Amino acid sequence: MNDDIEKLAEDYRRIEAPPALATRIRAEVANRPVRNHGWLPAAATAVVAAALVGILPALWQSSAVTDTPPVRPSLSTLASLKVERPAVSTPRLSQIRTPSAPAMPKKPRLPSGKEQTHNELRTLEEKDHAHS
Amino acid sequence: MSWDDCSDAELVRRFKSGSTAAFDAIVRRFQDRIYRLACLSLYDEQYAADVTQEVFIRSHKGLRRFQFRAEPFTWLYRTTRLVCREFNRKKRGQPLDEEPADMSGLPERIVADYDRAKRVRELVAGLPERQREVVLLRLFEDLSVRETAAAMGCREGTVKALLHKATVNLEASMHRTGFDHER
Repeated sequence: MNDDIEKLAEDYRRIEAPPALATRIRAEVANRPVRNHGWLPAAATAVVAAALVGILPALWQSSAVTDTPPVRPSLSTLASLKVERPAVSTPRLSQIRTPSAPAMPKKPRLPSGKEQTHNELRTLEEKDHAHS
Repeated sequence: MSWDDCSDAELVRRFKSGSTAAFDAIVRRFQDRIYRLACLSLYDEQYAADVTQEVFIRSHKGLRRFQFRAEPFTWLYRTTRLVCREFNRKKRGQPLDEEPADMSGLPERIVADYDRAKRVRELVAGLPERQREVVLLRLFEDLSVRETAAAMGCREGTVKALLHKATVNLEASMHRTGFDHER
């Protein structure tokens, strides 16, 4: 360490507290009795323990209920069960059926071959008669 | 075994077991160191004695729960730092006394101490806060790097780096002010 800094450190170490300071501290400490808070952790532990005692059984019961496996009914029990019908009567199938669609108009029947040639001849004759 | 032969930890152990005499021994052993730290850390050194008193009042309560994870002095240093900050915060708003304190009625030793503290304080006050802490603990209080790191709550590498910077700055400051050691 540098000499100057060493000398500075020496100066620093020569500073001393006022002589009456220790007496002052002793008197001040005696005037302020230390409050004993040793009971606080014990009280906190007791409160937590009481809360656990109160809560744990309830927790245990609820977990026991949820943990039970689902009961499988026997066949005889199932057989004795009646399926209840709903109070409102269900409509019959025939009632549900949609009404039949209206009948389509009849398809015009085409004239047969003889009638067709006869008609054509008559048309031609009418045309000739008109020209003449 | 007298109180002077007891280690710091042993003193605290005895105090924890209910010995009032052990607390008196703790005060006697550490009061000068705490007072010096307070002198250099305070905005106004007039309050150094008040801070020292407050530190020991708090330690009378706090050392009962001391867990021996650190050295007792480290714990006391941290308490001192906290109390100094509180005092600085409280007193900074108040104007300082312009007139120098009247020292005529005081013993020569106290006047010399006051002047010495003032001179050291003026030199160290120019350093940034962390560098000032390192100088106080490592150079002036002669703590190890490890103990300094524990007291400051930082790594040993940080202490070394801060110490290097602080030494350079302090030397420059001493050259500038023409530091003259009083024999």
